[in-house]
Amino acid sequence: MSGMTWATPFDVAALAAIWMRMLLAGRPPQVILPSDLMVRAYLVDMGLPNVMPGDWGSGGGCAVDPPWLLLTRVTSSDAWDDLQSELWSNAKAALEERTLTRRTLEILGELVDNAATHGASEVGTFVCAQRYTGVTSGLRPGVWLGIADAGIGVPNHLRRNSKYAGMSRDSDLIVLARKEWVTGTADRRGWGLVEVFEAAAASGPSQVVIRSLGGEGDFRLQPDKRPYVRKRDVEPVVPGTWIHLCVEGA
Amino acid sequence: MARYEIAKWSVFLATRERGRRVREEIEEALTRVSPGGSLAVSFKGVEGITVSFGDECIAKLIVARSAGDFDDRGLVIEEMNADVRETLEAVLSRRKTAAVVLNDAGEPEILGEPTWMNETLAAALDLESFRASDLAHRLRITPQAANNRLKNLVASGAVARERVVPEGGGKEFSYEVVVKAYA
Repeated sequence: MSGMTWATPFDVAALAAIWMRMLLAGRPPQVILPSDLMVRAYLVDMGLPNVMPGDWGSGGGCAVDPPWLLLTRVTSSDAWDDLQSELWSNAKAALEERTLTRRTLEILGELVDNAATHGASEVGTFVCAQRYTGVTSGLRPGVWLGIADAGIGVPNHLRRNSKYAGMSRDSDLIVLARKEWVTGTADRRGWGLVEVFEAAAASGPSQVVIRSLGGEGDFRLQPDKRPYVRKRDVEPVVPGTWIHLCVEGA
Repeated sequence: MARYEIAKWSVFLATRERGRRVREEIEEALTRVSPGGSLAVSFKGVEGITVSFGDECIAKLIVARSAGDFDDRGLVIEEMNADVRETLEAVLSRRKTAAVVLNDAGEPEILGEPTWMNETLAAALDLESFRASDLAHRLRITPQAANNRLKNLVASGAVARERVVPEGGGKEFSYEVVVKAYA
């Protein structure tokens, strides 16, 4: 991490998932902390040292708006539901607006449920969230969420549906994943990601980035407009799915 | 009327797994309701639910009722805030099914699809206790159409049905409105 000059909840969740995967495989990596003190302090504020031990120093106190959801490892859907009462209070206090709080928890609920079921592994799901102020970057303020698992990944999950088994390009399948019933299960599931996109778009201009295996989809959403989608092939570094979600306007 | 409080779990309900557990508890509560009685599922104190929770908990409960589970007793959903109501309406509509809910005035109405269900519910409320032929006559529809509508109305929880043997033999169902506001 020594060269890091910028980090988001996405990076925090992804780093935790990588670390836990290697730890459980008996190969914990050597951690080289960011030389940038602000980045290091940000990672401390987000709770990464609770998962990834290291000489983090006194750190902390960097985030202008501390996270309302510290980095959390979720090992089952039920465990996520057990956090909801506390999470509702924390999110409502941080976001100050009931509708945004509800939509944010809807988005998180669907994404974590997907990760904990379709992307289940012994690594679990890592999730964190903050209200982003933009005062140090000039970016628009909003709600930023990061979610990462180390499961089979969105493309391979969709390939279980015989209709898509022959699709070779991971990024094509990631773009497809936002459509209803793509999983092709008998009980007509498959609305979760649809709801994520609807709730995000309804909240205001939003961005959803889904990176999984060898593909990435970058979705730009606006209320009442078709999403703008950009997909690209990426080096398949680790298994699993990483998601960055940003809703502007908080 | 027996009551099941969803809020005992949390103010916000997120996952399918939790939806399944809550549905199983509601089904257990329904087993304790006498035939002809009703269970009220209350969302009082619940701030929000996800579509996945609503589908797994409520929509699947209704789908099971349409297959005959607990069709001799009623089920009514009540005390939802606008957000929960909107989410439930979406999940029920996607499955082309409906539930009976109590509105703010405490009157039963249909949430979900199909839209003709409200007309059928209103006729059932007038008739109180009836057979399919009575509903067909009231709505000026064929007995077969009345039977189809009643299947949906039983699934929604508004009425319970009981098998009876008519004078001429054969098999038939009698229907009774069991929602709270009417009882």
